[in-house]
Amino acid sequence: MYPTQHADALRIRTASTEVVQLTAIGTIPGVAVLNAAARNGTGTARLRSSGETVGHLLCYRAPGSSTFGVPHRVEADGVYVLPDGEDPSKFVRVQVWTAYLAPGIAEGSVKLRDVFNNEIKADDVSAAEAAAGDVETTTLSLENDGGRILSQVKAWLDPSTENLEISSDGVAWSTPTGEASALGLADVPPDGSVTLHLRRTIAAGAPSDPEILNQLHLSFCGL
Amino acid sequence: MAWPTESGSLGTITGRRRRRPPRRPAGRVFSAPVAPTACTYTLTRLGDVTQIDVTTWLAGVVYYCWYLDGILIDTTTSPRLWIQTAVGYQARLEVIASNDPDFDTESNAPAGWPSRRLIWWVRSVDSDVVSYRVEQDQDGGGWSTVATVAAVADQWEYQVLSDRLEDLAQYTWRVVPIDAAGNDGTPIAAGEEKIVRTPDAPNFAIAFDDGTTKVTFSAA
Repeated sequence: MYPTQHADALRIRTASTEVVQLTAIGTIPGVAVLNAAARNGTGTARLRSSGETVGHLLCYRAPGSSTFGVPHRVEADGVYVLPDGEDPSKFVRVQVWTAYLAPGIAEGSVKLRDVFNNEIKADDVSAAEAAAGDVETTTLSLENDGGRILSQVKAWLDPSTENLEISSDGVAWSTPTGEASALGLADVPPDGSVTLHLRRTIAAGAPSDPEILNQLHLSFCGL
Repeated sequence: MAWPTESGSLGTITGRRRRRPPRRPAGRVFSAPVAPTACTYTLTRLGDVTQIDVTTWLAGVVYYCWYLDGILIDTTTSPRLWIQTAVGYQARLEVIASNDPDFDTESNAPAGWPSRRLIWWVRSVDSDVVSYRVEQDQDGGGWSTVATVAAVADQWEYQVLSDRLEDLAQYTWRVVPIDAAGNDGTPIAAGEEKIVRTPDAPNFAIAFDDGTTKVTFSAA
């Protein structure tokens, strides 16, 4: 239904559950947002549909963007990826029910917010753990849901992220904060996956913070 | 009963790191409007219903974005809003007025730690659904009904604003579709969330210098 070379080809899962980075609130009739790329960032996005002689045209505009993506013609129910007009790596994956799409033009807002305590589940740190210090590890599966091999897969941490390390084998840990020094991962064939390990260290006596946002960057080539 | 999606159709607007709002005095308080424009407002109360009228110097079409206890509850082109609160209930209402039809109500939301959550979902595509029961679990204590919403034939999405939530409690919400015979369908649930209304103050150290008689505060 959607281009397999699209950035949506690489999915992050843990225990077979896809990781959700952004909560999407709001839509237009006939459309439900299944997943919003983390690259969208937070803010208000827009969805638009217009009824055509045959089918509908659907398009998306990411928060902060001034350009809708190229309209995607929808003639059947299914899952579609709608990219932004300025940055195609900003996209939403939507489920469409054509019978419910507005016959004319419909446009609505989609509010995107960060998800804390998502499927990665760096669980709440108890007072005892905070006092003594704590180390937690998580294993992510980077899976290729597209039809082409994904190469030059790289992972790195946002410079604002603290107390987090990444590893390809769970043995050697690093804290790259840019693509130039990123952790290289193996190529991912269609329907294949590579593993990425995360290690979070809470220093002894760390103060309470209810909303620490850890951000992981990924890049890959799918052409 | 079929739902448009298994995940992603239900979400709660989650709080995020924001500047802590100033402490408000007791009583029913409605804060002054915030940027980008300065407004004045009047309140008219009748029983548990309060009418708020906002005056702005903006000309032309003005979009008013209303936030109740930190959660966006409505965007209107009318400067008037009514809210209903229980007697003795405190509420914090903020409004942002803008001429921008694309005003980003998320990025420009007032600072604070919202004490409510918006439970939002898209309709079931099963035509025999007549209502939705919204349930809430607090700290694993079991499901309790917080609202029942009638299904409307041509309405695609629904939302319910929660009551003010308990600080440091763990909440989960789910929506259960109900058919005409009263049968429950398959619920959809949002991930659990720990509510933080009053985050801890930052750690700091205080030092008093006898010589200068100055007190110095520093990060611990």
